[in-house]
Amino acid sequence: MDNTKLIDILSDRLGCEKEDVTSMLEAFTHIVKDKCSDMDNIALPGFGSFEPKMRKERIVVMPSTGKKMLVPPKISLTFKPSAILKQYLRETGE
Amino acid sequence: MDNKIILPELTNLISTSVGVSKIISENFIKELISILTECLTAGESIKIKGLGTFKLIEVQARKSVNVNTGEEMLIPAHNKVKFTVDKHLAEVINSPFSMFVPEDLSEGITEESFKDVEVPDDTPAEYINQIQHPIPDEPIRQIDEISEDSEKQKLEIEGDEIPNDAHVVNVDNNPVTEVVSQIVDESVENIIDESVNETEYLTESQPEIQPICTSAPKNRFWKGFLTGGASVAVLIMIATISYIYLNKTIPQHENTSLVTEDKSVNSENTIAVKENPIDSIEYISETAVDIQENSKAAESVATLPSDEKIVYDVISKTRFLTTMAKEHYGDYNLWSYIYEENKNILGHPDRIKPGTKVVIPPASKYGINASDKECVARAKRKGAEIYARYNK
Repeated sequence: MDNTKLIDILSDRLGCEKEDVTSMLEAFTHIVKDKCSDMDNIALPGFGSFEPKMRKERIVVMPSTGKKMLVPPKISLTFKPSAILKQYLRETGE
Repeated sequence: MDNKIILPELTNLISTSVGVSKIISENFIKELISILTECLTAGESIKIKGLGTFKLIEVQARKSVNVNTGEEMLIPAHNKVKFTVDKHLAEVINSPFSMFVPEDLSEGITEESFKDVEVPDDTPAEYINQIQHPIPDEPIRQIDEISEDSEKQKLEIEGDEIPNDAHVVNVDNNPVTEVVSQIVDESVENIIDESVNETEYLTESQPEIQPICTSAPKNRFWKGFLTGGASVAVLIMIATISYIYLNKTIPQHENTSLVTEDKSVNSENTIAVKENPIDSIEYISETAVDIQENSKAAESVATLPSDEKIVYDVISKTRFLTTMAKEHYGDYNLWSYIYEENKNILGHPDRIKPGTKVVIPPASKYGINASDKECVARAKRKGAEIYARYNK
């Protein structure tokens, strides 16, 4: 499902104009961007949570050159699915 | 920072930023969640523009143990959801570390060298906050100065007069923004450099990230140098403190040497007269003819029968029992008599606390006579005895 299709379905279900839905979706993305830059978690009940995680710097070996390299620390955005979602996936898997 | 944002808050944020009612935004979020769930359980991945992609990954069945019962169980094959962040969003979130790139490492550096620097997951937010809102006063002033200067230069070129307190409005943004970004970068780098230096003085309660800038080898050299210097300084401090403690000196405001006009029992006077301002005492011998009073005399005079007055002296960094013996009696070795007189308050003769007030017994009490060789010999033996008592 791509973005356009998602907006279509949302506007149908909500009874809103597509433009409104688009702006709400953008606002949602923007909120994730702002809050996660501040290291806050965002929880969507029944779905999961977006958690920014701090990765320490580490030494890796480049397989091509065989040289050791230092990867700097970074912050990455992760998604942790909720138990309900995982349950659904297990059920549909059987 | 380290907060969890729940549905009501999210609803508010959306409704305020878009301008829709709270009910609509709440429905929006709920519908979004249900659509995502349905789609994923149907086996399809979803892409949200600007946010990222939710993908499904197949997981094989695997054996496991039931944690409660302990018996073996099988985790069936299923799908798990994986989220990949949109590139641009990832960059924005990683902006505090955006200036770093992976670097070649010289030989010999292993994980060991990083083990000392603990980076718990709860610290980075502070650090990040520091990076994001670092701008201390200086860069801002610099920016103002530079913008003002460039503006003033422009105006000067055009031939206008500029009053000293002219308020310069920044019309042309371009040169200043470049300067601003440069200065912000520098200030950020400064903060990082500071934190790199600070890692030397890390205690366990203050873990910090140790980013390695391109000038890594130089920083490391200076770090080692600073640690060495700091530890030497600490050792010197410990040494001086223990030296002071051993000598039992309390730093005194004024000198504490004795003012006397000496009158030894023996007519042969071998004692030099010291005349330094002090805060001790009167000296009167039993057979003394002259009485000298020190105008600054503050020490108390004990009440004794008629013309007898107790003589006190105070131990200091420069005044030992031997010094006093030399002054009062005429020979260093006669210190042991002073010790005897005060043995109830004195411990090890070499470890008398500075400021200890000792009674100087009148010479006649023990038959102290500096010129009498036997007396001196006796005093020496006495001294040896005293030491023997303590230096077992």
